[in-house]
Amino acid sequence: MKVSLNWINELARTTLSAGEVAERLTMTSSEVDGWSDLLTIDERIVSARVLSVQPHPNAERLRLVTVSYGSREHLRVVCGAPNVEVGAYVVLALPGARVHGRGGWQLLKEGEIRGVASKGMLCSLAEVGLPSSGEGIFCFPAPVPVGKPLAHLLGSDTVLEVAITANRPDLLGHVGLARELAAAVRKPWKEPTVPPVPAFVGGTAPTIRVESPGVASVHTAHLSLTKRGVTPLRILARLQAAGIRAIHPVVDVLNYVMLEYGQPLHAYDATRFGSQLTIATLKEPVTFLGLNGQSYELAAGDLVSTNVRGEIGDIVGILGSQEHAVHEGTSEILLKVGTFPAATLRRTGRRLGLRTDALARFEKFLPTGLAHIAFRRALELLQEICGAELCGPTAHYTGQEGAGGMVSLTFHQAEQLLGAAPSPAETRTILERLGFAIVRMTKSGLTVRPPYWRRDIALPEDLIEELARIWGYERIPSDLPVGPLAAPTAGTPYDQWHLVRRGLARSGIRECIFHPFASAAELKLFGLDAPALLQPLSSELAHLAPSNLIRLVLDTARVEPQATAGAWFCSGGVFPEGIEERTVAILIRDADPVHAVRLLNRAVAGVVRSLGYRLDMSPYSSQPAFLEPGEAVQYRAGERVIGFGGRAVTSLTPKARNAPETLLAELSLDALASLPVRAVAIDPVLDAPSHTRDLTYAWDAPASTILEQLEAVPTPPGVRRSIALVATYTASEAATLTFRVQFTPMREPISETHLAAWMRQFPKPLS
Amino acid sequence: MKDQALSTQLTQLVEEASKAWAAASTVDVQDQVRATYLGKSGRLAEFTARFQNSSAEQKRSIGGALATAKEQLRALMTLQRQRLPLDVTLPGYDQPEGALSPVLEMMDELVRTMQRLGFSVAGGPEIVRDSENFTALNLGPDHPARDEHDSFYLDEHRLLRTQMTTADVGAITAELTAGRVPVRLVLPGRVFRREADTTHAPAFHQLDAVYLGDDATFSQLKGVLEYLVQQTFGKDVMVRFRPHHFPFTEPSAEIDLSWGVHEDGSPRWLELGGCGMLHPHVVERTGANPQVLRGWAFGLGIERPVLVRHGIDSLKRFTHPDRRYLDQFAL
Repeated sequence: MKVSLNWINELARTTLSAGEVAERLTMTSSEVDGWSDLLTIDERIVSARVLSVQPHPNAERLRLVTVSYGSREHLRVVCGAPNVEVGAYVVLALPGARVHGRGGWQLLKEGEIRGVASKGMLCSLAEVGLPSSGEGIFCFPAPVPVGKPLAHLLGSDTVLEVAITANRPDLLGHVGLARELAAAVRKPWKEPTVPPVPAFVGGTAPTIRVESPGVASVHTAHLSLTKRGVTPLRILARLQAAGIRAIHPVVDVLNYVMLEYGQPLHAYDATRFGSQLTIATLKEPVTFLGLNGQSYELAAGDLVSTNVRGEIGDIVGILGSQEHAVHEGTSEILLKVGTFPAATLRRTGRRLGLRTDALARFEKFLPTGLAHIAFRRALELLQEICGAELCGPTAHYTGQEGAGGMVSLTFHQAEQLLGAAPSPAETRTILERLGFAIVRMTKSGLTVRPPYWRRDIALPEDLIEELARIWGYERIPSDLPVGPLAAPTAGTPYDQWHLVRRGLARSGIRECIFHPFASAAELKLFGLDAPALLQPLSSELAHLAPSNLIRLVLDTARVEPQATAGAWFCSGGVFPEGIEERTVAILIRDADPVHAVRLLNRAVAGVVRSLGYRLDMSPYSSQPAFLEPGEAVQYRAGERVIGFGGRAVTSLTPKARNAPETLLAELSLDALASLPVRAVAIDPVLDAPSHTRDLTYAWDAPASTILEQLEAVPTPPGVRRSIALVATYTASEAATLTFRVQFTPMREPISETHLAAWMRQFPKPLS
Repeated sequence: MKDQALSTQLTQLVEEASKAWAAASTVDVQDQVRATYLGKSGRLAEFTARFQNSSAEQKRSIGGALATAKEQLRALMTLQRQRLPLDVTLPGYDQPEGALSPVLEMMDELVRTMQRLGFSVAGGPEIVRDSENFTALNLGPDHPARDEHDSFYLDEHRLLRTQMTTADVGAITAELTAGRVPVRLVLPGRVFRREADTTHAPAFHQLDAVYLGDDATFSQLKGVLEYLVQQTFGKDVMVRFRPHHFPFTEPSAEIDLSWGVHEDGSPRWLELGGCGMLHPHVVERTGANPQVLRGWAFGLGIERPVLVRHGIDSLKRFTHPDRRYLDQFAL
């Protein structure tokens, strides 16, 4: 929310700088995101008085105006505005002043207009950068000292950007924020006084019919405007600070009261709308033309106001109708101020894509008591500025609202929850300054009645928060919990996940993270299915990803279209068939397919080994559609299936010439986590040499099958045996695999005789 | 053969070998020289063979000299081999070694610090019911704070969790059921919001920690967070607690850490997350009696401090698998 520094200083009776206000509000109440000085008006733009008005000799629509802008200074300007009158107090730009014209900001020069010299310019507010309503030049509503820079008459101001949390609708106006500021700087607070509704005898009061539950209050007044009025500069300055356009004195006043108290108000042109108001939820859809000129499709359930003829006057709390809006010729208005169901308004606003200043406040559950105060304040200002007079008594509707109860707190409770707390006397002062009425206070605690604007206070904890923030969180000492240490649990899924990540990185693979979404086309490319989101951010992110491989493969290819050798992995939750599963996906690109496979399987075996298991592999015939049939492998560890791998189908491999091979694997982290924690078993090693022998076979079956046959040969007692692939040979006529068998003695040295006997047990190798 | 002649020959042979060795500038030439003189059929072996045929007297007089010469050449040719010039300022191999995501590493670093304080890791699913994500945390269907949680729904009731706090209630209940009180949990994970711009990603990481016991205070919350932040970001970093509103904590605060200074010397604050004392209604939903057990919780965003710590220019980098970026986080 945009907050005028002058305004809150005035209300809180403080003289704080923007920095001081920002620091205090941030540390006790609402975060100030920043501040900036309002656009400064050029010093050469001054107040002046019109002395004479004469016709222009060469142009019918121009006039020669002589103004005084100091005790002796007079000058003559050529002016085209229709509203220049002798005696008026106006805004004069002197040569060299920065003014806003059709072509943006420019420096004013002395010049000749249709043959007559013009030494300055009479300005509208728009021409000096202020919010502007009406046509022609600006005329002050009351006499002002002449020759004073406009900037001085307005007072320069700073605008703070304050973030108001959802629980504090009372801070959506300057009065509420000033109240917080006063409490924060420990100054007594005095509520601004608002006169009561003027008494009116006789006449007809407007009628209010409420046909919707949830409307907590409505106040209306039928007013006749005895003068058009001019929005005073002090109000314009504050509208400007809030970034609100000036529109019409009535609308400006209502906007001003909204900024002051946080309560939005609405006025209908009473001659068009009438004074009989019905507030009801729509029964059927209808098209509505808003005062912004846009048309909206309202739906059943939207809250609207209607008149006797059933015409819609406004989407309550959101937007008025064009037909019944206040306009230049408005002579009577129907003022409406109320408290409306936040949820209904919010749903309507969201559906229509409307975010008005009024809705932003209503949807935060405004305190009901606020409406009547804002109503009286508006009557006061409308009377002052537009000469508004009641046409009859005012009308009021009060719906059902649970009365806020009292809240009790013991001083011990506060200290127990915070670790330290203000003294009872301080506690009382803090709560009083925030508007709480102290109903009872004893040695051990107090009972308070929250003010009407604090419906968020219901529990002792709520009161403790009030104390803590105003007293200052920085005054609460820091401490560490003391207690018995719990035995740490080893091998949790979290630990396993990080073991896997580290294992893959140690294998030389780089980790990336992705957002687990995919488009329908991407799913199709992988031949996978996954649930769609109801409201995706875009069609690119329309589905949850069913596999970590989708983003890994496609995004790496996008970043490196000229794919070169490399290895990547990513991990996290994915959603095959809507069931959440945690996996890790691995992508290896290498010019040599055999090398790629061996890199991949070394990485997978490393992961499995770090968990205390040995990797088992077998050909995988029911492979996913994105792997080449007959070139997929199933991974197992500890008798459990833990994942699969294989060669990517050509549609997924980079198109570049000489592009490397793409090998993919996906392991289930959930399956790995289900393996009982196990330490790697270490065999004893005898201080005697190990022996190795190589065996070469024709590569006429999957390597894992051949290896399985070798592994099936019983290991002789007393030795540790390992079998590893050491070479592959591929030629057009034949391909071979060479395995190295190593025997390590555990009990006694190995003799040549034994070794020869053991080797004879293996299938006969190629010579 | 005369003793004199043999002895001279031997001296000449040693001199010749030494010269040849000195002239050898590469390992290959050194190997050749070594083979020529010390090899099985090298010059010295040849000399020894001849010497074997000589008289016992000759053997006696020359034997010692021959053994010395052999020893001398062997020592020379072994020692010199290690002495080849070596530039020890050669740069190390420039191969990528595998890398880990700085986001997950930061998260794990925070988890490990919490584990040292006796907190155990817990978690929960990413797809949750809206009652778990919102209602259980005091965010009723029309709560205005729901606006800050624009979410991805799968159907009317299921959505991707918008905050790690969603997992808190269930995790606390499990601990209470197992009789582990005080409850000390740390919950790292991925959360989702329906937004994407320069400072927001649709999926990001958070770390929540909760404590529930009969002694929980805001003081503890401050102490634990200050310890965690200083362990992670350095002892000089200041932590500040700023009032805020979360429906599930009361009192609530936001946590800022100081990161550098403004031109005027005042600290620059970086928002790290939110915290507070667990709301009594939330405590009740875990199955605990809020009259007996109180709790505190905090939730930290992971991505933002990683950006600041490493000077990374955009959130998008994290999900952009460019090896030129990733390899800077090599092991």
